[in-house]
Amino acid sequence: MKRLFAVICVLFLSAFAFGQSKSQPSDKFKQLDEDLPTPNEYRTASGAPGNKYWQNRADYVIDVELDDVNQRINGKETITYKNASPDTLTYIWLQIDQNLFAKDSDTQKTSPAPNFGGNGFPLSAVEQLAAREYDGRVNITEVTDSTGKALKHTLNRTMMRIDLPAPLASGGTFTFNISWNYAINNQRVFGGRTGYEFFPRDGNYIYEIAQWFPRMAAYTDYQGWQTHQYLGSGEFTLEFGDYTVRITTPNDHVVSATGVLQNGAQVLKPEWATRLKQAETAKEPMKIVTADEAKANESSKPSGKKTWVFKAGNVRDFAFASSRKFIWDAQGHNVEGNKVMAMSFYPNEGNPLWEKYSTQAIIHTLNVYSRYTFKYPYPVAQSINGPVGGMEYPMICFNGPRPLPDGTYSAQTKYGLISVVIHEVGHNYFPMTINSDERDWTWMDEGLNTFTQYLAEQEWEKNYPSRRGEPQYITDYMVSENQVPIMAQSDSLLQFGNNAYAKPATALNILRETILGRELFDFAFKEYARRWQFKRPEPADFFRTMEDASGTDLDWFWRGWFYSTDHVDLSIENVRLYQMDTRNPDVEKELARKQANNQPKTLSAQRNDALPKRIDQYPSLRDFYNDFDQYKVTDKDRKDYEAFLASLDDKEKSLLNGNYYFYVVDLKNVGGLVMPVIFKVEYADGSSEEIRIPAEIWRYNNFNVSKLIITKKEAKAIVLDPNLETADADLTNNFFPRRFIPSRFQVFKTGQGGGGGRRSGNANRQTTTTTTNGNSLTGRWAIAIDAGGQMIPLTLNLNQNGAEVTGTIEGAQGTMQISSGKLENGVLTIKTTSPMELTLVGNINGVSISGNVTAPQGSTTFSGSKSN
Amino acid sequence: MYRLFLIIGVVLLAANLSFGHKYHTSLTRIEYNDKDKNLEISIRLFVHDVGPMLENRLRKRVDLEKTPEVDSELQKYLAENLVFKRPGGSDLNVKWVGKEFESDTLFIYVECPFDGDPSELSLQNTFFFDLFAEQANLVVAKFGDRKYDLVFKSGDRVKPFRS
Repeated sequence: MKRLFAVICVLFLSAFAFGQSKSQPSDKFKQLDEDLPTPNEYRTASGAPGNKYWQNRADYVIDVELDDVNQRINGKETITYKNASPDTLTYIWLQIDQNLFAKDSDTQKTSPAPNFGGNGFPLSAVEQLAAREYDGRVNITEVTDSTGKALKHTLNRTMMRIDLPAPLASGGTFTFNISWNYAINNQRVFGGRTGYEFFPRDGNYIYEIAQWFPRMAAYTDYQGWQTHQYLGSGEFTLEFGDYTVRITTPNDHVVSATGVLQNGAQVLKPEWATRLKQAETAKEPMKIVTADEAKANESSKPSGKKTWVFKAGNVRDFAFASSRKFIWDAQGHNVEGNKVMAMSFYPNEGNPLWEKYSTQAIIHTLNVYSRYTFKYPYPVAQSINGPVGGMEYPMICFNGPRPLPDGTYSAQTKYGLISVVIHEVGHNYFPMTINSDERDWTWMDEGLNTFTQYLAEQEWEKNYPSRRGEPQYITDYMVSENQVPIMAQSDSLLQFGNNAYAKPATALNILRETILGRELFDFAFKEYARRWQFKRPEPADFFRTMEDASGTDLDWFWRGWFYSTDHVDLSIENVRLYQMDTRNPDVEKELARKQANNQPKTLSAQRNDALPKRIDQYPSLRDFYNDFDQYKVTDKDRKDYEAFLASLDDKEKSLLNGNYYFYVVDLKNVGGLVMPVIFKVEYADGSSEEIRIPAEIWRYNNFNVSKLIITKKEAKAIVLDPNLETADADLTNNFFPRRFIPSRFQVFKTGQGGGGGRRSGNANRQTTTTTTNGNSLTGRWAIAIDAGGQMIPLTLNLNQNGAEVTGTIEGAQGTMQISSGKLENGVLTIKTTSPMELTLVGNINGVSISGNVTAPQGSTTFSGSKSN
Repeated sequence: MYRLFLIIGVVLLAANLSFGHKYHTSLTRIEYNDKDKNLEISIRLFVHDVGPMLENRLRKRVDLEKTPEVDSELQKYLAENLVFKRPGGSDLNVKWVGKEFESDTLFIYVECPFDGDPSELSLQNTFFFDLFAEQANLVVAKFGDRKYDLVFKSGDRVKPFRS
């Protein structure tokens, strides 16, 4: 690096922004005021409910019969609707969501054609044609007022309007009745968030029943009646209310539902009732219906019907599950003073996985979520195994994963189950209690819930394989072409899971870890949950609350992560070194001479050198100018320097002689999303330093900025985002000087495993199980790390004490302390944390060692042997 | 019993409706290693897509980590659904390198020895088109300094890198 002449004022130059021209108007820090709704007395500018906040309410009394012979639902309900809005209503809308399964539904009409391709007519298409006979349309057989008089009603696909006999004024209530029936969908054929599963082996069914009764559509201060039809992606926009539901099933079924069972004495076998009571104080999940009892039930034939009565207070929906195949386990749990029954219902096909994990995962979820939001507000929390892969309702959720028929299961299935239970039980907070509008904004419940799920998973076990949350997992999606911003309506989302689950969850994780810090974030997040518990927040209420409660303007963050499809890719384009002009002629003139001498000689000059010169032939031609050395220090120079020094105070003098290095790092924002700049400066002496600069560094110029780093030590390298915390999509430009980053393919092929995944294949390098042959590891080991073709030598100084290994790693630039080390089955694992994180895992074979070394930037191989 | 097989096979309609919390995309990264004259390919698939596909083809319940036929069937599936075509029309030979799981994701690694300008190739990527109507397969290719983004949606078959 060149030493240049710089003046003292370089000291006062910090973030240096290039002038912005008129043709470059991008302002990623522009405030969101124009994009957010104007605050009003319902929703304040701070993001809290306003002083006139209101929401309507619907209470339900429902009688329903589950027809196990024909797989049908027959229901009759009385709805009491309370108009808390300031408006007078002349009609009301209901949601008839099960009409999604009507033969001529919009969902069927608007779904694109499958591609039958060139590989023949798929088996699935045959079954699709055969299934054409099914029509899940809801038959509305009666709509009457409280006196039994018929009400005029009009169906609009998945919605129904009832014209009120008299206008419903603000504060008024309207009570009416609806009778209906429909054929339940076979979930395994038609999919959906509800349905039945048929078990051919024993001829039984599991029913997971939801969206099964005409429900009040929401009437809101921001939209009036919710008018998005149910197309399948956008879930539900609902009102809170109290429910009394009487469910009639064959008398050998076991029923689980939203709410608390009211007539256990009538519907439970006496021993079940006794066990249920015991379970309230059990220390671990205990069986109410055992596996053997459930097995015996499978060959049972009903001798009649039973009616199970459930009550649920202040819930926004009601779902239930029913089967004669259910095992039932339960454990009472105290969540911050609220006594909750955590319960799971599953067939024998779900074991041994379900009895081990489901109820435990429920309790874990309630503990962690309650800590980050508010105390779980309901008396029960249940997880059901049936056909639905994962779907949430108040106090009850449906979860799909099962082991193989032989009872074994892969890690995939195990963590799949734990994760889905955490996720779906977690939905009791978002949106069952924090009642966001799912039909409009999938991310408001799925994104926030996936974020909290990540927190809960990481408290389940160390290095839990969470699929979403870590910034590095989102980068492929962030750079992809085929996407829309998070702030898009639920039915229009492309790459649904990444858009509404993974990206907002990752964004919140970054907001928590990198931008606000845990303390500020957790306070604000909890405040949002507290403000909107049992209320209906809009996106602006979330954005505003997070800013208001954290005391931080985050408009740029919402703009980048929620309103744009930009991705994060910051690049170190160049690093320039400046050093102080000491003004000392003895130093500076000598330096100038060196620089002049270092200038390359041109080709002509080189060839002309040898030519005889006239002034050599006639020395009398020489004068002062021929012999003058402009780099020679004169007395005048020294006097001037002394005068200059005399003009400085002590502080200035120490700065002048401080031997500082001024590194100007030129940064480029390639991806478009502005983010904090996190540097790791690696010094020549082997030490390193982390420098964290807020995203506001980009505020004057969103794309190019230079940052001055002043140090007293010479830097060897500068690394951007060393902890992989910003979702930077291209790591190759994060290093100065540039480093080789192997692709995922190359990492795998060279035998290292892509990202710690479970692997198989030809390239799988055999893990040898050699031992140390009784030799101690203690001593010096010379190893070489393969850095993309270039070998980097290191020395390991090891001390072995049983399985424990301590010592140091010596490199050309310094020595690192081994922070932890162990020897197990001939495999040595050592780690360093400072100045850099490094993990070496090597197989010891006598006096040779070979294995992998992993750093935050990637991993590679190493090998070597004991040198003494 | 046959009914069970049929039920397993029927995932098509599920895609028309909403499928719980699932979505259907894949991401294939292709890099040309000029030194080794090799196309290095990593394919990122969701387990919830691969599972039903294999169950449909093998006609039994499949555990991706335990069922023995998984690797051979995946290789057959790749041969049918990830095809590199030379300008003349002949196909490149795609070689299996291995696979690994990471949470809900299956990474498959394959390679294609090829001496020439890879941007003159065309690609067919039809993963899961027979199962999910809204399937979108993203392909990111890097040949030296040149980058190509392709999106294959239901109905697409062969696309050139350089158009």
